[in-house]
Amino acid sequence: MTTTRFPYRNDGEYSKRIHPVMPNQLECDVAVIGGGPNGLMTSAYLAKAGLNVILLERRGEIGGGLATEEILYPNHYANTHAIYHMMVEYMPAFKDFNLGQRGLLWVGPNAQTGMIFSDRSSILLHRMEEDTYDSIIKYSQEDADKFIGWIRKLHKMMDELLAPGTYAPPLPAVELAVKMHRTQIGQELMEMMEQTPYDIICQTFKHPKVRAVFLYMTCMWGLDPSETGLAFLVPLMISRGMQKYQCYGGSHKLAGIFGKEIVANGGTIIENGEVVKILVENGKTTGVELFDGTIIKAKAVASSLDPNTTFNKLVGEPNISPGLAERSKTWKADKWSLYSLHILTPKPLEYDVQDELRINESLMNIMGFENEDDVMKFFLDVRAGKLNNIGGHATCETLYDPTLVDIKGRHVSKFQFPAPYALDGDPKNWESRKKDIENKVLDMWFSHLRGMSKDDIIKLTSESPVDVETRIPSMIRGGIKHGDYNALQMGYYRPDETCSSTRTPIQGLYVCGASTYPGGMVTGGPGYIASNAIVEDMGANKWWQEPAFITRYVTDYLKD
Amino acid sequence: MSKNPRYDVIIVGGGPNGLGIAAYLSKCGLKVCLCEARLEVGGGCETIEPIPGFRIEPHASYNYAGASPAWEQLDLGRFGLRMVPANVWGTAATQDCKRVTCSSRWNPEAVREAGRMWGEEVAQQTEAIYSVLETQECKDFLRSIFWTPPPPDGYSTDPDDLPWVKAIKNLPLINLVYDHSWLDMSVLDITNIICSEEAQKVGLSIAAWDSGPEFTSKGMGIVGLADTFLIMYASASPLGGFHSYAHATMRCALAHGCTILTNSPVEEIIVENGEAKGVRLADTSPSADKVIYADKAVISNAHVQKTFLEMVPSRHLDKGFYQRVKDINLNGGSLFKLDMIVKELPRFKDKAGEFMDKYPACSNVFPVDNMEVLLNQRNAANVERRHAKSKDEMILRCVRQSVYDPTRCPPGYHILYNYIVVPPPEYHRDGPEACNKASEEIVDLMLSHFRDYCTNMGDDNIVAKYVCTPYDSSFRNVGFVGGNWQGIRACEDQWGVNRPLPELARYRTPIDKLYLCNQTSHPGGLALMAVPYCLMHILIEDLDLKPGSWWYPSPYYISDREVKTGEI
Repeated sequence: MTTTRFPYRNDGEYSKRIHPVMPNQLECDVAVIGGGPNGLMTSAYLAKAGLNVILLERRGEIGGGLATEEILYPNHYANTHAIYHMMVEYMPAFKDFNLGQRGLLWVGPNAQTGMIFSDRSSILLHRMEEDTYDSIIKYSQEDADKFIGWIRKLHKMMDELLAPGTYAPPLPAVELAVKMHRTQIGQELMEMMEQTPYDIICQTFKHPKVRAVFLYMTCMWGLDPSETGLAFLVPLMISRGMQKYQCYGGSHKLAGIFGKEIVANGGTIIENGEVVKILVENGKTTGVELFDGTIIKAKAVASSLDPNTTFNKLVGEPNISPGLAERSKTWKADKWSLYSLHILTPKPLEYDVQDELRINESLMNIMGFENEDDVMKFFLDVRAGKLNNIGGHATCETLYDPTLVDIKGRHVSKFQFPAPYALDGDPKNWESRKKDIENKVLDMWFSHLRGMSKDDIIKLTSESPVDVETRIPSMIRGGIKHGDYNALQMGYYRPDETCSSTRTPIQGLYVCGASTYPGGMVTGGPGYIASNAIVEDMGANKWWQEPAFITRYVTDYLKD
Repeated sequence: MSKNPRYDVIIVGGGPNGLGIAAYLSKCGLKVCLCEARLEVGGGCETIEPIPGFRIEPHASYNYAGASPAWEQLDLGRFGLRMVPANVWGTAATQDCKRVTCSSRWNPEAVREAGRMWGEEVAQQTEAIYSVLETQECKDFLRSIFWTPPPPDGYSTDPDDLPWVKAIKNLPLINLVYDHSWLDMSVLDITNIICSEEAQKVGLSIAAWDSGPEFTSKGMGIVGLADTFLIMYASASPLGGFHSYAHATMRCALAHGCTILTNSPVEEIIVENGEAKGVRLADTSPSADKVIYADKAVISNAHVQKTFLEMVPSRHLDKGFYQRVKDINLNGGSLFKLDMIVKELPRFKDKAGEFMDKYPACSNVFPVDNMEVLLNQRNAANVERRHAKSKDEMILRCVRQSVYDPTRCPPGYHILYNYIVVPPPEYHRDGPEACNKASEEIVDLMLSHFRDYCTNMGDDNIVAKYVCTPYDSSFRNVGFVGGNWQGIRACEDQWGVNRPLPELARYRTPIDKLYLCNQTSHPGGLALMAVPYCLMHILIEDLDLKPGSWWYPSPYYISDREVKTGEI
């Protein structure tokens, strides 16, 4: 008896009597499942198009990975997932919603990504190529020269193909390949596809330290260094790795602004609104049901959850084809998740580095690796569920955002690394080895610092891949991208060739999350593409204009 | 002259009252800008997740605002708000664990069963009180106290003219025993009239204390009684945690065009020629303009002391006024709070345990039958100015929202929100950080107290602990001066026409166009949406607002004009 819990039901009778609160029957044009970046963006675009939108979020707070939470100490905030956003210059929503005028600031310092080695030497990658050149040249004249030509080519691939491709529906692989081969830059991108990230980096650069920083930066967000068929992501990760922008006031700020747009345009946001069923009648979506019995009738439903949840758990047979059911059931979660250690210190971190003066201004510093083999070994270990050597990337979040702490002078920093969900085969090991891992991370991290010891830490907290999943269960196995990046789950196949356009075989049902083309990482791609599709299908007012760089891509590269 | 943005109204602070008035004024069609210092609005309506999967409320947990007009006027349900009513709201155990008291509007059977442990007479008495809740007169009584601005200066001093006296005289049952001597009584005095058992007296006293005035505070008896009626009337919790309440109010404001600037602490309320003109934001604000102007009003949702001692430059204030603001007392609402994650709910001993297992409640109090212990805890905090140090000063309150709200934590666990009253940090005889330093000691005392009453509160049941002291609260929430959840003491000198000071009681201030809208004004804390509702009456007069048909004023409201022209 002592563990009794009562299931809450949304009881209309009670509400009528005492609190006139949310009724247990609602109606809308579009119900959007999941309040992460894509769900928010889809809802905001559609609400402004005059559609009546209801956004449903399981947690008490919208944002998904755009989470800034008080996990360390009262009024000391930390970003539990995304700290910076990588597609700031491209994301159409930025201009469409005039986010800059809405109190949204991004700080993108010149010092972007450093790597610190045990001999106190370092490499610092900058936003400005010339500065990066000067940092690489310390190790290799040849690599530095190579870098300039290479990075310009990658930026071009990014500008002309990858960035616009992020916001246009995917084409079947063969069709895309044919079209890409019509241009020089497209051909080069296709050639890269055949290689692994490891091969590309090692063919481009000679010096082990240079290789190490580029290899880690390419793969840190979940790209497998030994996987082929995905290397179009290399230019993206490299180009974006030097164009990171920290969201001022915390990543959650971006969520808040979209939330405001939704509400200001007549939409409704329902938190604590876990969807347990997508209602389908005669092959057509009719709405959703929430855990507390609330029924929301909708002409269209957009799900930002992974395909297994959307199709097998929420829709279910017989409303989906056996093929889609099977495909969704075998959907592979991310190969690894992330481990984060957050600390609060009385002053900013100062790295003990002899060559790069600006390393302490860098948005991110990588450490724990001496060469590309260390990086490779680290990723192979992680893939095998092991954590032998600690290495990763650190960010002092308050360096460019003092609003995260209440007490002047104090700093919040985080050390993060790709980490397996099932550590040594069992997720439970994270709990039993918590202290041990925290200590190992701190030992490694603080060995690179000067003027500060572990005793100076005011507060500390760590989040394992299991914690990631506990906070946000839609990140299955802690997967921040809602599904592994492999050739069978990317591009036209994400999540499935019948749904990668965001339309699904069920009339009125759309998919709009990170498990849909082009994938995760707060690009806003799936949400943008879904918004276009839904507005078109529902004949609503498409109030936004396609940015010129996307139109150019579609007309110049994709036309028949 | 300036490109700095102009609004009709600027609101300083995004706590429940700031959000409430933002929603009301935006709905009236005004151009409103709300400035919040923190990353997120909500103030004390906060739900955090410091431990993955477990939602902890550092401050407010219950909502007693069921009788508030705001639910319908602001249409909070349209913004996703749902309330979780506890089928059994509270149970309290005696020292010997042989008997319990039980409070619940929704489970008369449980209330009756508990009442019978004390005799048929007590059972019938309790039942009779619950029947009062169903009457319109009860709602009127609550609205006369909490949802009516204090009468203006110069209003009649005849008790029969006071709104709540008019209302209490209509309140079934209570009107049979009420006379004007109640106006000077404490909660304790009134319980001596209306209760026969010590447990009832302690129960009511705690309920009143935890919702406003101290039970010993003379002249606060009717208010304290009304607090206990608020609880019985509609205690429920926002689904998902108290922050949901802030979300609904915020979204009402946003839907009506309000601008909200987060990460934007107000450093100065700009005053010229005795008139509030706007605010200056901290340099760290992401707002492009650090100075923004208000044409009609600046409304401070900051604590009265923060407003006048920190935001309004002192050169604009009278020295005597400044001192009186400084002297405002902070006692009474500072809590030492221990959240515990447990696998099993506390299993109480003996007959109390049997009852509590049969009717799992949303809150527990223990012990409930010893007034001396309650007085000891009160005196330790207020007289000796220290935290409780022994069990004869220990009455523990334990809130268990996860019993009725499945979103609070994963299946297989519960969150226990336990608290005791301690002095505000500023007043603690061992210094502001005393409770933080003695944290382990206090936690041990609370746990040992638990183990006296329960059989399963060993380390194997307790998965994690999370402490929040008043000192922590004052960091988290700059509005909680002294960590006091109701801002300042609720006592006759600081309530109604005296809250926070007589010249501020009608929400106007010595600075023209500057208004107060914080729990330090009448009627105090509890996120009742009462301060903004009351302030609306004043602003309708001063700003000549024309709210739509959704608005209705308090039937007890007395305007300044009525007093001046002698219409009454």
